[in-house]
Order: sequence, then C-alpha cells, then structure tokens
Amino acid sequence: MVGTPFYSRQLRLCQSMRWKLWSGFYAVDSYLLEHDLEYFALRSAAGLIDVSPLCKYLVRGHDSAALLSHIMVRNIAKLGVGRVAYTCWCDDAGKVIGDGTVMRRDEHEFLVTTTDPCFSWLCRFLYGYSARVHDVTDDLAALALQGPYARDILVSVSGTAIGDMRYFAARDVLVAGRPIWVSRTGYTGDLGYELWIPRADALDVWDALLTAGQSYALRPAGLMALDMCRIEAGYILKHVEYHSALHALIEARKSSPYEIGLGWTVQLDRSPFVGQRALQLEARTRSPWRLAGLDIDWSETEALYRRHGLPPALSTEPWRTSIPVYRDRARQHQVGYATSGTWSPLLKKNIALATLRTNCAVPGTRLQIAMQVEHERHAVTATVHSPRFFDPARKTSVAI
Amino acid sequence: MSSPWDTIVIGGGLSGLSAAVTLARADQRTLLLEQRAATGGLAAPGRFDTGAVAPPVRQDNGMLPLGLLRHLRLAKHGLTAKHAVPALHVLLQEGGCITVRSNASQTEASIARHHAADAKNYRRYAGLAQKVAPALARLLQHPGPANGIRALPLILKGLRWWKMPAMHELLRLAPMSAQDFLDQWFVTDSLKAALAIPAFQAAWGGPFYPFGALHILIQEALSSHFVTGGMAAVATSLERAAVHHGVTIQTGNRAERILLASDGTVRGVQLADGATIAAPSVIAACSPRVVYQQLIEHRHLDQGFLWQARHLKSRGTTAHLALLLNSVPEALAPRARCAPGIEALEQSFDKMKQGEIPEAFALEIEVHADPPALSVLAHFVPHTVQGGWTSEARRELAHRILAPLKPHLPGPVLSSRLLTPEDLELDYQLPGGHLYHVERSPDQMLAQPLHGWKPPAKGLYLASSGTTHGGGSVCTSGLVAARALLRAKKQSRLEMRRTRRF
Amino acid sequence: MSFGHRYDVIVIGAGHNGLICAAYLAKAGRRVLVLERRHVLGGAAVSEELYPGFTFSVASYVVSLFRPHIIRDLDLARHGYHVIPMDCAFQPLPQGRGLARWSDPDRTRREVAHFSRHDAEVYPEFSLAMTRMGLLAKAVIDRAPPVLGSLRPSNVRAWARLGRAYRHLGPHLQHVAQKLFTMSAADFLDLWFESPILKGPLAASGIIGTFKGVRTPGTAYVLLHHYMGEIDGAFRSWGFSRGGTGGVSMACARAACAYGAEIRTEASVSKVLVQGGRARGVVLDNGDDFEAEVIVSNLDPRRTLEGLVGAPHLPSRLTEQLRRYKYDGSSGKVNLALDGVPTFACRPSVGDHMRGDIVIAPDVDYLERAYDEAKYGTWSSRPFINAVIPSLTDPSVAPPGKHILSCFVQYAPYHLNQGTWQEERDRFGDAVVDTLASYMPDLKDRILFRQVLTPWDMEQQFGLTEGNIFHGELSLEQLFFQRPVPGMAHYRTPIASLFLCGSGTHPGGGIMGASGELAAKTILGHPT
Ligand SMILES: Cc1cc2nc3c(=O)[nH]c(=O)nc-3n(C[C@H](O)[C@H](O)[C@H](O)COP(=O)(O)OP(=O)(O)OC[C@H]3O[C@@H](n4cnc5c(N)ncnc54)[C@H](O)[C@@H]3O)c2cc1C
Repeated sequence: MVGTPFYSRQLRLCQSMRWKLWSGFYAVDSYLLEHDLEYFALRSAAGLIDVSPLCKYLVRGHDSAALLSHIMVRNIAKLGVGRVAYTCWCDDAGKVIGDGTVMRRDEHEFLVTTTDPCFSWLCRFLYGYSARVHDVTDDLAALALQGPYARDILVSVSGTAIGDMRYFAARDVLVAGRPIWVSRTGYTGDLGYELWIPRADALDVWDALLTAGQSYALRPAGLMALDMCRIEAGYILKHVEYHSALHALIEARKSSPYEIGLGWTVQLDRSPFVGQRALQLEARTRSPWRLAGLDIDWSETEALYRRHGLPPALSTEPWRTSIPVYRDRARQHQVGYATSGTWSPLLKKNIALATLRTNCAVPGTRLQIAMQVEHERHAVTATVHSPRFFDPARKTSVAI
Repeated sequence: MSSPWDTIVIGGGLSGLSAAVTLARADQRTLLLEQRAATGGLAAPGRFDTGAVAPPVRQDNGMLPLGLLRHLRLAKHGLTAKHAVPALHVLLQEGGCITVRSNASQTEASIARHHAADAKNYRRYAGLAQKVAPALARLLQHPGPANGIRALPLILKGLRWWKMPAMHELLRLAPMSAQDFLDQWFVTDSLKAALAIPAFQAAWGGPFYPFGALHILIQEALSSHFVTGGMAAVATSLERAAVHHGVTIQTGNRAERILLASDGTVRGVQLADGATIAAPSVIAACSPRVVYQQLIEHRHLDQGFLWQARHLKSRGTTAHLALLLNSVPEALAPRARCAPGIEALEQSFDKMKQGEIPEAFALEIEVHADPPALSVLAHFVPHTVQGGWTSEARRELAHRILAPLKPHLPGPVLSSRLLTPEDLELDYQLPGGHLYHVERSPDQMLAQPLHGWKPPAKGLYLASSGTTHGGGSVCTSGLVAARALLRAKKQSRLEMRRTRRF
Repeated sequence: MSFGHRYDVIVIGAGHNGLICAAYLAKAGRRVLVLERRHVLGGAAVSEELYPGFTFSVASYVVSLFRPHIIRDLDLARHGYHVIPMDCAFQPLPQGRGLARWSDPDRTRREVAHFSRHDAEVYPEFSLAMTRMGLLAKAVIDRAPPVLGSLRPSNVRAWARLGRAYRHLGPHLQHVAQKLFTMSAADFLDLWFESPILKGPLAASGIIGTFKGVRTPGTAYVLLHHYMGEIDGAFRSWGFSRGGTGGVSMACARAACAYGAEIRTEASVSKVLVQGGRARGVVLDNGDDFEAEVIVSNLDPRRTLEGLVGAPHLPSRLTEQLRRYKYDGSSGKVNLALDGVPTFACRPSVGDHMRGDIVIAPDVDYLERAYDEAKYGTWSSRPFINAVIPSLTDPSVAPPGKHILSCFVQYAPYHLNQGTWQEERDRFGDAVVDTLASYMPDLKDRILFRQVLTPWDMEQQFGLTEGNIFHGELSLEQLFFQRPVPGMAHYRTPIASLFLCGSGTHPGGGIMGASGELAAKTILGHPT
C-alpha cells in the first residue's frame, strides 16, 4: 500500500487516524475527530479533498475521439475542446462496467478519470484506431476543491479570472506558478473544481491552496464528508450503487445505465458503440430497476425510539450496507434495497439512495424501509424522492 | 440497395469453390474473389523456376467426402475417384520399407519381414479404425449446423451403434498421445513415427502430446476416397463446375473489408483498391483469423466474441517442398511417409519450439507423374527460424528434408520449390501458417462456438478449413455454409410472404 | 478358513483418506480396524522428526483443498486440525524485485503492474472466471461421479445437476469452461495474460504432480485447484497445517479413534483373501489374519488389485486397464533444515513474502524447458520448485531461530533412461539446492541437514506406485467417471465387498479427504 502524493501533509493533519484503502492508496476517511465539521466546511465554506487515487488515463492520437465514442455510451466525438463529459461504459450486453469523466484537452487528446482501473478495457478496443492509452494515474495528483467559496479561493491562488468558467468546462491554470489543469467538476453536488496536478508540483499546490484558503475557512476534508455530500447530491458510487459487469459474479448484480440513473448519458442513435444493440432494446422496453432517493420519515423514526424510551440516536456517519425496502409495513413484499444513506445535517433529513422496482420508483410513493431500533426490527415509511436532495443553483451558475 | 450479386464468396480455395458451385446451382448470382492469380488455394498447382508445373501444397489424404460432393456432379467436370486406397510406403530408418495397403494381409506380410509381432498387431489396429470410422464420419462430415455443445446430441447419435465398452474405448483412446496410442500395438519405431504423422498435421504438438490419437484415428478411419490427379484435379474440376454454373470468378482481387450496416447485417465487400461491391450475403472462405482480425470492423463485433476470435491458435509447423525430377521414383510412388522415430521426432519438435531447424522431420510424400515431381510435407519446421529465413537457412532446411529421400530418388533434383510456414502465411493469407487455417486442437475442434457455423453478422457465413467442418475433410465446410445460406434465404422469403399476406 | 479377529470393516492403509473413511464408518457404528504398514500415520500427509528438533512435512507440505464439511462432520478442529493461512505467493526473479501476489487485490495489482499493466487489471477478471469455474467443479468433486450410460434415476439426476451447473455459466463462461478442460495451462493463460513472468507461477500450478509440460493439453484444468478454496466457505484455504501436514492426518486418526476405530501401525497387509468373488479378510506380512465384512483399501488401484488381490481373481479386461493406468511419477522433494532464515537476493528483507508459497518458475519457457529435459528420462537440471518455509509461520516445527525449507521439485521422472535413482539422488539434490542458491546466495551456508526424496524413494517409503503423488496421473482420461478406470469409478471393485478409498479414486489426489468420505458413504449406502 502506498500514500498519495499528499501523504506527508495528510499524515500531519489527520488527527483522527481514520484512514481507508482506496484502490491500494491510503486515503483519509476524516481528518478531524468529528467528520461533520468537514461536511460543513464543504457545504458552507470550502473543502479540499485528495482524489489522487482516481485512475487517470490520457488517450492520444488521431482516432482518440472515435475510439472513445466507440467505448463510451456518450458520443465523445461531439465533445468540445475544453469540455468535460460525465459518462459510463458498458459491455456488449449493455451492463455498466464503469463511470467517470472524459476531458477533451485538445482535438486529439482526452483525459479519462474513473474510480477503478480500466486501462485494459480501454486498450481492448485499440485495434483499427490510431490512438494510444497512457496510464497517468501515478503521474497526476488530483485535488477536489469544493464548496461555495471554491471559486474565490481558486481565483486568489491563481490570480486568473475563472469566474466565467462554465459547469463541466476545463482549462489550464497557473497555481503557485505551476501549470495545472482545472475542470469545473466534482462529486459534492456544489460549486467546485477538480485540479489535475503534475506529481512533482503536488505539494506546492496543496500548500498554496491551504494558505490562500485560510481566509475562506478552507479545510481539508476526508472521504466520509465527501460521501455525505455525494449522497445528498444523488451521485452513485461504483461497488456501492452498482457493480462492474466485468467483476459481477452473477447476472443479477449487473446493471444497465438506465437502472442506475445514468440513462441520460446514453446517446443511442449514432455510430456503433459497445452495448448499443442491447441498450437500444432496453430503451424501447422498460428497465426493471430504477435509482431513486428515499426520504426516511423522521417522526416515525422518533416514535420508534420513543417506544423504547429513547431519544432518536442515529449515527451521523454515512452508511453503505444494503437495506431491504418493502411495499408494505408487514415486510412481505420487497420492492428494492437501499444502497447507501446518511443523515443530512443541512436538510435535517434521513436520506438514502435506493434501487427500486421501476413501478415503485415514482416520486411521492410511500414505501417501507427496514430499521433496527434497540435490537428490534421495524419498518419506517420512506417516501420516494428524486436522488437530487441537494442541488443549489451555484453548482452550475457562472459568476459575472 | 439493389446489387448484381446475391452472394460474394471470399476465397477461391476448395471450400470457397464448393460453396460457390452449390450457390450457383441454386440460381444464386455468385461472385468469387480470389486474391491469388489462380483459384484452388492450397490445392492449386504451383510453378517451378523452370516453368514446369509443381504439385500443390495440399496432398490427397483420402478424406474427400465424395458422398457429399456427388451432387456437385464433379465427375461431369473431369474428376474420377479411385475406390481403392493407394499403397503407402513407410521408409524405415534402419533401411527397407513397409508397404501399407488396403488389403490387410498384404500389409501384414510386408510388416512381418521386419517385425513379426507388429505384423500381427496391425490387424487389430486396422480393425479398430474400421470400428470407429462410421461414428467419426457422422461427426465430422455431417452437414448439419452443429458446433460446440449443440453438437452433443449429434455425438451421442453418432455413438449410438456402440456398445458401452466401445464408447469407453474411444473416450480412453482419443486423449492419448500418438506415442502412447501406437505403443499399444507396435514396436518398430519409424513405423510408429510414420503412422503418427496425421497428429502433427492437425495440431501443434509432438508425438508426446495428448490427443494425437484422435487425429490418427480420424485419418485412418476416414481416408478412403482418393481421386485421380490429386487435389489439383479436384480444384480444376470445381473451377470448371463453377464456370459452368455461372459463377463469376475474379482472381487477383483481394477483399479488404466486409462491409456491415449499422444493424450488423452484411452490405457487401470493399476491395483493395477501395471499390465496393454490394451484396446481401458473403461467404468468407478464408482463414477465420483473417475474417475476424482484418475483414470485419471490430466495432461490429461483440467483445466476448472478439476475445475468442483474437485467441484462435494457428501455429503452423509444416513446410512444403516440391521437387522436379527426371523420372518417377517408383520406390516412393504413389505415396510414402518417412520419419526417424517417435523420440527423435519429439526432439525435433523441441528444436522447433526454440526456433531452430531440427535435424530430421516427419515427411509425407506424394508422387506426381506429369511432370515427374515429388510433393513433400515436412513437419516440425519453425514458423520463423532464429535469424529469419535467410537463403542459407532455407537451403539448410531443404537439404535436411531431402537427406532421407536421396537414396530413393532416380536421378538429380532438377528444380525445387520450398514454402516455409512463414511463406505459407504470406502467400496464402494464413495467419500463423497453419495448413488447416486454425489448429485442430481439442479445444478448437469441439469447443468452438465461434468459427463454426453461426455467423457473427447477419448474412455472413464462414466456410473454410478453419471451421468445425474443415480441416482434413475437404470441401465440407463450403457445402455446409452454402446450404445454411440457402436455408436462411428460403426462410426469410417465406416470412416475407407470410407478412405480406397479413 | 478360520480367522484371528473379526471386524465389520478393515481399512488398509492409514493415509488421510483411509483415516477419514474409517472415521465416517466408525461414526456410523461400524467396528473398524485400520492397518498401516509404517510406524507413523498419514501416508503422504505425514510429519516426521527427521533431524533433532525439526518436524518436517516429509511429503505433502501445504493444505489446500481439504473439504471443509469433513472438518465439521468429524469435528476435526477439536481433534487438532489447525491450518494457518498463507497470504502470499512469491516468485523470485534473477533481476528486479520478483513478483509477489497477495490476498489483497490492490496490492497484487500494483505488483503485477510492474510487468504488465494489462495483466494487472485483468487478473481480477481471471480470478472471477476461475471462481465461476470452481462452482462448476464443486458440483463435481463433492459427489461420486455420475457414470455414462446408466439410466438409474440417481445417475440421471446427477447428470442433470451437472448440466444445470453448466448452463448456469452463460455462453461466455461455457466457452471458457470448454477451454479449461481441454487446453494446456500456458495456452489457457494466454487467453488473459501477456506477461510470461506472471504466467510462470500461474501455469506451474497446472503441472504439479503430473508428468506433463505447461504446454501440454489437459493441464489447464488443474489451475482450478487454486481457486476452489474461495468458494468452499472455508476462505483462505491454502495454508500450513500446524505441526506439519501430519497434523491433518493425526486429527483424522484421533477422530476415528474417538468414534471407536482401532488403528494398528507396522501392520503391512500382504494379501486380501478372496473367496467366491468376495473379499473375506486380510493377511499381514507377519502372518496375522483378520476377517471383515468389508475391506477398504487406501492404496492405489494397481497396488490393491494386482498386489493384494492378485490377477487370477480379476477379469482380464481390468488387468489390461490397470496396466494402462498411468502413474509416471515426476516429482521429487528436498527437505532442508536451516540454521537461520535465508535471504532472497531480489527482496532481501525477511518479510511476509517469505511466509507463503515460494515459486521458482521465472517464466513459461523455463517450465517448458524443464519438461523438455525430463520427458526423455532425465531429471530437470533447472527444475520448477515450489518451496515453503513453514517455520516462519508455525514456530512449533523448528527450534527457535532455526528454519525448515521444504521444496517440492519437478521434474524428476520415475523412469530414468540412464542410471538409477540411488545413484542420481544426490546429484539431483545438488541441482535443486544450486537452483535455489541462485536466488538465495546464503542458502548453502545455512544447511544443517538435507533429505532428498526421489520418486523411487517415495515408492519405497510411502508405497506410492511409481512415485506418483496422486496415486495416478490427473489427466483427463483418468478423471471423473473414468477414475481410476472406466466402469470402476464408484469406489467399488469387481470383488464384492472390496472398496477403494485412496487418491486413485474420484476426485483424485491432494489432501482433500473427499475420496475417503465418498467411499465411506458408498459403503454405508448413503446417497452421495
Ligand atoms: C512429495 C509430495 C508432496 C505433496 N504435496 C502436496 C501438497 O502440498 N498439498 C496437497 O494437497 N497434496 C500434496 N501431495 C499429495 C497428497 O499428499 C496425496 O495425494 C495424499 O496425501 C494421498 O492420500 P491418500 O490417503 O489417498 O494416500 P496415502 O497418503 O498414499 O496413504 C496410503 C497409506 O497406505 C499405506 N500402505 C501402503 N501399503 C500398505 C500395505 N501393504 N499395508 C498397509 N498399509 C499400506 C501407506 O504407508 C500410506 O500410509 C503431495 C504428495 C507428495 C508425495
């Protein structure tokens, strides 16, 4: 196991000693003893998250656009230079293998980033294309600067006017005198940027950001705070909301893009891409599953605790165990399962992301989710909600 | 899109020709594209430097399925079948020769001159081959759409006649190595080595390698229909039949791509010069590796399918040497085999694995009369030799192949023509240089849903030695593919009529 | 005829299979006697103190496929069954840091990526495919195999079960399965991997115990063994038995005794008495005789039927088949006592990489060359070696600070074309030590004691015919309903009341226990 390029800094900052393994890297779960302080930094000021373990690939060559259009469900050929697209990729049967972003650096160069290694998958399609795939995971450090003040911090540290940078745009910026790539993307569902930094400059950029950030209450944030944010924003996570079709032991564990809320990324009517035929078929019929949000009824929860003479005591940490969801209170008819959830300190709601039978996934539908209170199993009403619990205008708006 | 052609056949080898004839006889407008200057593929005669006709690479192994070919009426186009299996001389390492004839007692007598026990056992050995022949014939020459696990019912049917012990017997024998298999009957080393040759032809492996027995059995069981004039005669008569039935043959014309529409159905073929020819169906009678790795655009293929296609094995280990002579060498005519011995061959195989030219080879010799010439297939020649096939290396190879034959030749060699596996690959578009296009290893014979009969794109059919029906059994795959195509056409016509009615 | 003693069942041979068979039978209330030729129990799964203070796993050295349900059925943990898992498979290389594969997938990926990024990522896909194949194999190994041609409902059901397991795989994996059962290990690995270095140790597991090369068809399926443990519910099943592999056998023996079985050592059976087509009893070398309703033999088929029963009692077809049944032992063993931990030149620290499997198989060609040398009847001068240092994990086997290096070596063909194994033994041992010393420069200075076991020695010592460690080659034509020979695959023999329970029966060799268990169930008439 190894640390990311920021390991030496993190080691000093991580008071809680709470670490996690992410793709073979040590990653901080929470720096502070109370992770929700980091959450609040992300939501009300700004947070700096080390996302270097993301796998990063540069795809270069004349046919790189055609190649990526062939692999991705989204038509990458149409992506403008300096733009980023979020997409997923599937196997022949239209089942999702991975999801991530594709940044068009120039006409013939793309940066693909994703949570799990996919070098060999990208290379599988090279035949007949003039393109090459370079794994730059270890060469590029990555930071996510997220939160309402992210823009101000970035402006102050780079001295560049990036206020006009649109959502999902990318450009080259100088930070602390180092050229880095910045994209206006993120995993918190808020205003934010992701910074792609040559490994050698990583610590300088980190230091510059934290110094400049002092005036804006910037905090380094760990994965737990990030997880809370992404659940509020309704963003799915591989291995949690879905499993790669390449690594699923049984058919039932595979999902199509339509079933995990990525239907909007699929562009069907165009040149052939992997899984096209299967997806065309699925688009015409109805997928059996849907991704949805669940708003777990608070007063019922409270009442359950009260029955035991207890105040409601939910953990403030996000969870990601599969919990069955039923149509009925008697827990006879299961209609899906929640995959991850959290107490949302901002919304004051207990929320979850769930995979539900399509007919039950209509917002407003009242379902029952299993809940254990004081060693007893109960069911609590959970109302189907769009997965986007938190979606501020500043996420996409441009500063003038 | 209207097109002057119903079907384009890519590749004018025996499979391609038989497919084209079958189609044309069913009134299909058929175009045949052949990249070489003449049709016939590996069965087409070559030329010596002197200009004389050289025997083709493909030798007559007696496995032409005459029953199947009957409806092509090749007799009308000049093909005559011999009903007796021609004699086979086995040149012994220690001098002398055993002649194997269809008459077992003659063979016995011939072996008895060298080894009494071997002679006695020969009868049992030949009897076994006779016993398994019908089942193997059903299995390998059956024209039905069978491959992979779907062949299972067929196999069971094929085995129906057998009492249980016999079935166990085949199951036990088939996975054996050539060595273990032949050791059961024979002692004479070079006789064993000679009998083992079909195993080397079929799949990558020496005499110690498992499943050699299967190929020896197949050869012994199915080798019964020889033709006058050898494989070249088959090619000529097939071409005549094709022309007669109206097939348009374009030689020297190479298909570069099979064009597919976005829904994966065949649109036509693109030629080397960029021109395209439209047609609703294509029979690809060339190496499956060429089809999957060059002719079809990968974006049209499933990943799982491609994964399989990419890993087709076709490691060729056979070279062909044609020799022009003064007169016919009677000692070798009509055909002969010569191999140093089981262990010596395995050593040759080891040498070959390391990219060296072995000392001795397993040779299959066919004698041609007009002009007097020898066709020699030599096994365990590396595809690429260390340092490449320089002219010295080639000379060395020819020299070593020739050495054991020298004493049997009536006079000097007037001219020779050598094709290494690498030459075969380049000349005949056979990736890997395997004469059967892909190895007939057990995993590729039975366990091959891929290059069998089911096409990966609508309107595309595969017909070549590389398919389930290919290999030793010449032409079958062409017939199978053509029939499948015709059946599909008929079905879609019926369907169309049905929909029109409603 | 009169007999000295009467039992319900006599088990000949106290290998782990014999002991397990005895335990199951005794548990079912039978009066069982186990007769073992040697002074120790365990057969090829045995621990012996060959050098003062050092307990060697003389023959088999790691426990892999032991059926977990047997541990539960016989309560073996209570009787001392204790297997410590291994975390790493380490492949030292002449250059670089070598390749270590760990239980943690990310750690493995990082290591493999040094050789091929592609392979590193495909590795989990390969493991997944193998796990699925393992599910198929599990349907096969935990039951007596169905036979061809019988329409008995149980037989038809068994085939149907297999058919279902196969269909369940889906088309892609069916294709993989077909390849797995027919291809060579090297070819099969080519379907996934490009690096010959990674393929080396992977392919090596396909040749263990067979006299075949990595490019010989039929070796691919043996790769499965490495993935079987994952699906057994006994995760991390590869490991060291505490106190050596004899610990497993001793646990089985204690269980058998606890259920009331009687075990006698130094009781070599010389003959099975057959009367009217039934086995009636056994006679020992010293002339003692014992009578029993049922005789079970833990010896391999040839030793049992030709050696103890005798050809006159057998149908001639069977004698012919037994003659053809292939042994061709090809493995040797070198056991070393060391006065300290040796150091690997490529990864000098004493670390976790030394606590697992150490594989000398630098690449596929190396293995193929080792085979090419041996197939003509000489031992490989640069052999494939699978070494372990159990004392780094289990301090009970060596004095403090001292260590055991246990090396399984291939190829050492039983049939030498020149000389005898007595003459060649030491030179063979030297070649093994030299090969190891090229990776561990300080090895030679640390050796206190050396034992070299050639296939010939194994035949003499353990009664393994032709030194085959699995009681007969694990090749396709000798497996499943054809093991040991067609028509005799159900632990029965043509002699009524004589049964087989050794590794020469389905599902084959290795410290698995399945043969013993299934034989016992067959004898008891339980459905298997
Ligand atoms: C060197 C070596 C290394 C191995 N490594 C491993 C490994 O790492 N992992 C693994 O899983 N497997 C390994 N194996 C294989 C495994 O050990 C055997 O397959 C297994 O132990 C066989 O068990 P068994 O009970 O069937 O037979 P055996 O253990 O062979 O038992 C037969 C018994 O019968 C006794 N006997 C013989 N003749 C007579 C007679 N006339 N009268 C009375 N008794 C008699 C013998 O002494 C012996 O005790 C290895 C084997 C060897 C030889």
